[in-house]
Amino acid sequence: MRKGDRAFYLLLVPSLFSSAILMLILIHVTTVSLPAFVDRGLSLLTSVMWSPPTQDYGLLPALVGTILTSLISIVVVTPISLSIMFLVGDLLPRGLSRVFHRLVEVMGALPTVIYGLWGGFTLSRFLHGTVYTWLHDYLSYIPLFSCRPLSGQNILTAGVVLGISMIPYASSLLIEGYRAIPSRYIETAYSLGFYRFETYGLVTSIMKPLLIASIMLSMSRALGETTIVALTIGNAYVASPCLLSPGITVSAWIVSQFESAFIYPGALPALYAGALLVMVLSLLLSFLGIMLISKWRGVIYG
Amino acid sequence: MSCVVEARDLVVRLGGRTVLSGVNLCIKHNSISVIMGPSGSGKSTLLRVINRLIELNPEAEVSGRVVIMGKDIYEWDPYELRRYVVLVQQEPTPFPNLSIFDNVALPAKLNGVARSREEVEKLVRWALEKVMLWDEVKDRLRKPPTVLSGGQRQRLCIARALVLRPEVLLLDEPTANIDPANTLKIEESLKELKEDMTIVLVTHMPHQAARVGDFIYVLYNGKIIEEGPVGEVFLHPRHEVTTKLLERVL
Repeated sequence: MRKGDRAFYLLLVPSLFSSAILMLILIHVTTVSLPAFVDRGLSLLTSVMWSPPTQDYGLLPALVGTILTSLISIVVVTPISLSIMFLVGDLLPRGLSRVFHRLVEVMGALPTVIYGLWGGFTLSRFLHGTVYTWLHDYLSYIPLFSCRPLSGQNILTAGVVLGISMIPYASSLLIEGYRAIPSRYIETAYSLGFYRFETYGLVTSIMKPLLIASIMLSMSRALGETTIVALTIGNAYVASPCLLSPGITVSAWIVSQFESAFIYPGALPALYAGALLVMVLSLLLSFLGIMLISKWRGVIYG
Repeated sequence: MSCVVEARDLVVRLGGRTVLSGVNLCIKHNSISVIMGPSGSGKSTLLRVINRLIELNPEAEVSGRVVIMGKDIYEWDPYELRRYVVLVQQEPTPFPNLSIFDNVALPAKLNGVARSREEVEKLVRWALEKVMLWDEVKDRLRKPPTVLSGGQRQRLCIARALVLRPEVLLLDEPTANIDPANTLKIEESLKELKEDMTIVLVTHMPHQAARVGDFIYVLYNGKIIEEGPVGEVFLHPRHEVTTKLLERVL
């Protein structure tokens, strides 16, 4: 065997190792969760009860919380990341753009517990005293704001903080995409007399698949985020469409119940079932996001 | 004859390097003016100054005057100027996310040239006919431009510029990377279009200059070294560089 070939096989080992780990995790989570799906069937997903002494395990509140917080986070992160993309990619002078981009990247290096603490103790109080009371007072006819906000720690706060924490990731993806667009398209728009915002509109429409991909990838991260949610959502096991009520997500629930799950029969498979659902959804979103990006690249450079 | 585009003592520096130095020219109404010169002589830069696209480059410094239709380019709103003086780039750049129809219709809609659906459709058809593309695409107007050949894409880009009904059409080597059949179609279109507008064509091809040009400007090292009616310059070139360009040595 030649030296180069040996190096190739040596380098192959870590990638095979990580793929094997992913497979092992999938097998492990599926195996442990399987009894929950078999024993409880659909009620595992539709029941709102979680009562270990009576062995009632329903995941609906956690699933609703997971989906709602993820959707809110997307609503927060998408416009902000788009603005950052245009600011860094086009509006700011080169030097300032570099500094601003670095600052956003540094935001991504903050531990999630910092976002959680800030969101749970500062932002939640601020929002409770200002926005939430107003939302309930004036928009309570909309089910999303129909409940009285008892504290600032609720589904909406969790979603907002999740969205803020994802800004560095989503904006980096978009900035990279913006820079990948051949400058000739932007020059062409300007040379046809497009105004700046018309050009931005065109760029956004050229980037639509990438934008959708970045939403999918960000959402796949939001689905599994635990620390931020645990500190901001209020940790109440209720399934409510009202965003001003406290709630829970699958990952936050797993962390809070993991210790006692070994004591009560059936609890561990039920928690694993929740983990499996989040993992499958997250992997699916990541896969679709990556596919979209590669298809988009083909169109842009094709 | 008055000038549609007039440059006086035009100097352009890009990142400290002088690209155009003391350019004077007068582009006449309803004519095709050809700009020739070796690579790096400043031909594309000259076009980008005329419609102020050069301002997208933060390193560009421009001095001297350029007057379009009697008004200094800096008295124009740059976006408005670019609607009257449209540039078609060397590489065909149809927008990949839009259909063939929408590629042509979008500038017309945004600039308010056509408002109703019927007006837009009529204008798109007119522009595509002008570049002899209508018959080739009329059955696939909703398809993406990726289904077209390189030459068809370039003609689509010219049609896209035409819907703005520009006063001046700037073309930066529009046939550089396309086949002879499409090149001839573009040249035929240009000859017809000059009845409606003034055309400035940058080209490397002396035969093309001879076929379509009325006037020629030869740029060398950022200066215009020779100018005049195409026939005269081709028959009696005064500068050695012009001779070499015409013989395609440069």
